[in-house]
Amino acid sequence: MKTMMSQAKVALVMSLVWAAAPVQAAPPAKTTAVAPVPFLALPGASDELAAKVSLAVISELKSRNELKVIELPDDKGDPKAAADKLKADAQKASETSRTNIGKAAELFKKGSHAKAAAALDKAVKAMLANPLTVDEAGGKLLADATLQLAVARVITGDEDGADLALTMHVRWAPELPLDAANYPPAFVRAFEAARGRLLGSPRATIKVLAPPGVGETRVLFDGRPLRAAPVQLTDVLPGVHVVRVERGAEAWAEAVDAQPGADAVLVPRFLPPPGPSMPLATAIGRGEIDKAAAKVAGKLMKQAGAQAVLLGAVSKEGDGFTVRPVLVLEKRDKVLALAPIAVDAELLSASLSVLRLVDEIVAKLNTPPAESPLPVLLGSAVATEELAQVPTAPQPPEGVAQAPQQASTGPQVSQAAPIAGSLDAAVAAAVKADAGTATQEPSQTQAQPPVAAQEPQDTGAGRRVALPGQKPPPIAAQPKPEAKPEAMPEAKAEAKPEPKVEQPEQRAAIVPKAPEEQVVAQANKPAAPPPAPGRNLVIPRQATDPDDEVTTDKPRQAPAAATRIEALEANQVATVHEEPTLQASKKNHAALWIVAGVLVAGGLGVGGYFLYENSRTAQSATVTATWSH
Amino acid sequence: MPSLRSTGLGLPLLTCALLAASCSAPVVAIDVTIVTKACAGATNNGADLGHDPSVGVDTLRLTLSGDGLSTQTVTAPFGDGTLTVPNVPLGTNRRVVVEALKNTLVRARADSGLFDALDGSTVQLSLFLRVIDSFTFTTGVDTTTCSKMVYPRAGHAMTLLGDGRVLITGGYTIQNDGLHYLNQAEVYDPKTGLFSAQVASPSFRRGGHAALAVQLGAAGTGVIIAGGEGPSDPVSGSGNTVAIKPLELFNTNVWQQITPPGTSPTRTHQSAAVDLRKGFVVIAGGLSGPDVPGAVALDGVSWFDPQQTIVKDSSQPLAAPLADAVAVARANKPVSGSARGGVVLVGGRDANGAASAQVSGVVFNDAQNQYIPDATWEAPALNHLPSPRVRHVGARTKSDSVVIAGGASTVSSTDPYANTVSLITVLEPDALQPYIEDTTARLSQARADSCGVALNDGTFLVAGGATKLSGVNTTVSATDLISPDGRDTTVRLPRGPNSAMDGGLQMPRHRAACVRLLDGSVLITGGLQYGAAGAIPATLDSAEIFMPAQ
Repeated sequence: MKTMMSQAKVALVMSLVWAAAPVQAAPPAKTTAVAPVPFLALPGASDELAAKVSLAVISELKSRNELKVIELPDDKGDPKAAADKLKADAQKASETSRTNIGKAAELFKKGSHAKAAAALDKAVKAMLANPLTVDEAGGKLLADATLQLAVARVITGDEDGADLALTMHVRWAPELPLDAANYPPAFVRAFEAARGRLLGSPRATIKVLAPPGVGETRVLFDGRPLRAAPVQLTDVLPGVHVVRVERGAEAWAEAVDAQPGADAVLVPRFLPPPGPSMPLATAIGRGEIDKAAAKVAGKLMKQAGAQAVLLGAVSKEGDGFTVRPVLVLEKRDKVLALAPIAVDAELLSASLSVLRLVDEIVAKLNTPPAESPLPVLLGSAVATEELAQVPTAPQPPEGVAQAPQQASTGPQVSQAAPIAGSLDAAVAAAVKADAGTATQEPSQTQAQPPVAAQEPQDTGAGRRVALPGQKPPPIAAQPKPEAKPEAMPEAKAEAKPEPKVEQPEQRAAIVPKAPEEQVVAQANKPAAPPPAPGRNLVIPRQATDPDDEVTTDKPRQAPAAATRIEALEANQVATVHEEPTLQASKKNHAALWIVAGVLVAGGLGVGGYFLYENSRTAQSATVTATWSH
Repeated sequence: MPSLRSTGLGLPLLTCALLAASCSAPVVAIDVTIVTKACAGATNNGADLGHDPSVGVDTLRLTLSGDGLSTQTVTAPFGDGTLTVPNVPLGTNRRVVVEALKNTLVRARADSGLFDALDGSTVQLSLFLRVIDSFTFTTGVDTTTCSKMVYPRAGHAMTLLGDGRVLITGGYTIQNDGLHYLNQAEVYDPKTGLFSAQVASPSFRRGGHAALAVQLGAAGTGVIIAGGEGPSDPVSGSGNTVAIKPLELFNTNVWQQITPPGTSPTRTHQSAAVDLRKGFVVIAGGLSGPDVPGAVALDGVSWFDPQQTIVKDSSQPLAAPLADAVAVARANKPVSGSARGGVVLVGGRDANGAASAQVSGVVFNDAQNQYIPDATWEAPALNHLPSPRVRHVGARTKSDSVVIAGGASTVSSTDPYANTVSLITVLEPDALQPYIEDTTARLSQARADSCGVALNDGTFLVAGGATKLSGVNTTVSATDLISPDGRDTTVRLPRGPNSAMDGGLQMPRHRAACVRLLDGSVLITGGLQYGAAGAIPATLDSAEIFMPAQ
């Protein structure tokens, strides 16, 4: 019995060993290093759901012996912390910019215009390198700074630089008029030329998608609030712009180099993935993986020492959510679309789907199929047809032909905000774009508006531009027409070419004639017949002493013989003589006249007294304002 | 029929008729001279981009209002040079506002403030158009030169008098041999735009003092000046710098010396504000002597009673010694009950002379008949700032909270502007969850020794100051407009005549004095201005006025 028990134990152990033997004896499985990039949420899905899916997939990947999961080091970070860091960086950049602008203002006042220009240049670049700085106030500051930069460069003789700054200014504030009265005409012309040139350029389009999450958003374009995302920004002037999306205290911003002929698609994310996967976020967020995105993934893969990168997006489809994963392989950055999996918000039934996904990953890593056709769509991220369209710049002025759309290789969206280097590149690209605009000017002459076409004539004057506040050097010896009092004001206005000089003259042209002029005008008129006597003052005639007679050119009124009382003008009273024929009265009403006279005099006296008393108390005031003009 | 001559009635009748025709009530003349030019000092500045108020203006709009008078608005082309408004009913509290319009937008504004137009009076007004949302140098009717203070000065004080004029007291000028303290007072009259020396001046030369308007009862409005430091010999101006103990009261052009009780400490760098409930001038903390190493910070609280014109001391000290704290008077109205008044003291320097984050308050206790610590500010959440702050500015907001801005986080006599900050902090003790928080918005430029004034609309104007740029102490012209916005604030730069670049001070200045005038504009005068590295800063005599947009 004891022997049987021993044999049974041996058999059991042997069976266990046998069972285990194939495992121990099998050659070690080939492991492939996979770097999973956290899945991103497309509009309709939440970041939390995307994070949950990522966690589930990564857990499953880790459970496979065939795979070695390489977590991207910085991706372990807290997105909130990353967002806070972005904000802090932006705050710092904003302060740097404002300090530089403040410094520039001080330098301006000291007359150090070259240094002021340098400080402003730094400020502008710092803001563009940190697009989050371009909020509503930042946008205004940017527009102001570029205008001042243009002014400073004009003073220092850097006309090309001034033109560049003006171009930037117009691009960021195309509807902001230049206060022509405060700048020399040549500067105004330079501004108008830059404006006309830019407004005449072919336009671009930028689509701004809705960020994940719930709540009303606000889209700011170069600091100008437009409307909620999603939105399609149309008529975008070519060059670098900053798009900012806000929701409550959260903000996201990106600098984009808008190019005509190609739509840029921006994917706002208030909580961007931290670390090296961030460059992929934009591509994934756009909802498609193309060759460029695959290259970024490949670079990331090499940095991490992996042979594959797993990425994907979660989007809302119908009542549920769909995860569309993509594998990018080491060799030639081959892109393999994986089968989408359906999940619910709580991932209640996702386990099996995740299991199958990882099975597919293992299978495709072992036997890579042909590359999927690019781009691989990750979801219905962009529904451009439904986007509200908001024009961002006015149409070209009348008479300015808009240049035809140029072919473009695609939207040149800069990298997301935290990658300072790449944004520097974006700024450089912006500068390059500006330089390009400037150098392309001759070739665009045919398409340029009349304003631009006149530029060569203005160039000479432009070199003599002075700042407002400084005495502008004479542009040309303009003979001033002599002031002729008898000349019509309109004629004087036409005779003066300088707008500032014209202004008062133009005003004079619409000012009603002064009383003196009216008198002169009346005097020059042919003699009009004497007006009919008024009836407002009726005075009984009486004889006037010859000494009282006032010389007048007016013909003496010959009263009608039968008329005893006649209405006279006030100035005729002293000149009227009683005709001898009227002195004789046929009836004597002296007593009646005396009584009437007493009554009238008494009444008038009483009334006069009250009038006099009343006249001593002021009842009203007259405000008379005078000023020099 | 007898002739009229023969009846003797003709002449009287004619006379009466003419009298009746010509008799009409006299009309009070309100003559308004509108000054439409900036002074030459403003327009000759190379950096000036058009502070002249008339640039581009096409229309002038005059608005007349007053008691029992429906507001009248008339416009005239700017080129007319004259405008008349007849039949304006006489009355009190008349006000003329003139706006210069440029393409229908207001470019510049002038405000007469209130005046009476009554029988027998002739009103002569000089209104100075100033570009809105911008600083403009002060000028008289003659704009060939800007008007300036009689004496250049910094560390001085300005107080708005009841008649709209501004009393300027004390301060110092910096020369190669050091500080020269002033006792000469002068007055700025907004009606003329000019400064004039005040015949009567305080006895003591002092700077860094407080000068506050007080209600003296039947005697009207007065100004009390307290604390500060100056020469030990106030007559000759010689001697060591000492703290000035006596207070001086200005009323009807006469200065009266007020001697505090013997127990009251001699103090400088104290904090002072007028209690909104009691009308007392609260004087708290300070240094026992001039601002030199070793000066002892004080924790005592005194107050000046303007009705009795005496100074009293409280037996209850502050939570800790404190100097140079920003003092802000609040209504201090609890959710239920009446306003408690009192003063909150924010930041400053502690007993060791270091920058302090302390927040404390005092409130008058009627039962004890003295000022006692305000328990509101003793709560852990409310008794300190997020970070220390000194040489900052502060003001009461419309919602009775307190906002402070700028300053430095450290104290250094040799490197005073090494650690200036752009922080803005809101102190709200009356919310359901009281808080003291730095706002997300910041000043456009970190700086200390700025000038801060609350505008009529509740916006807090912070102008000028000094900071260290590229290792060099620099006086700045930066100006920020802070609007409280719940727990946060929004900050913007003044628009300026052309851009935010020229909306700030025309002349960089720190340690200047500023005051809000009756028309809502802000006068800022004097101050210091750093020049070349290592050179002593210049003491300024120029003055500017900020005309708010609203």
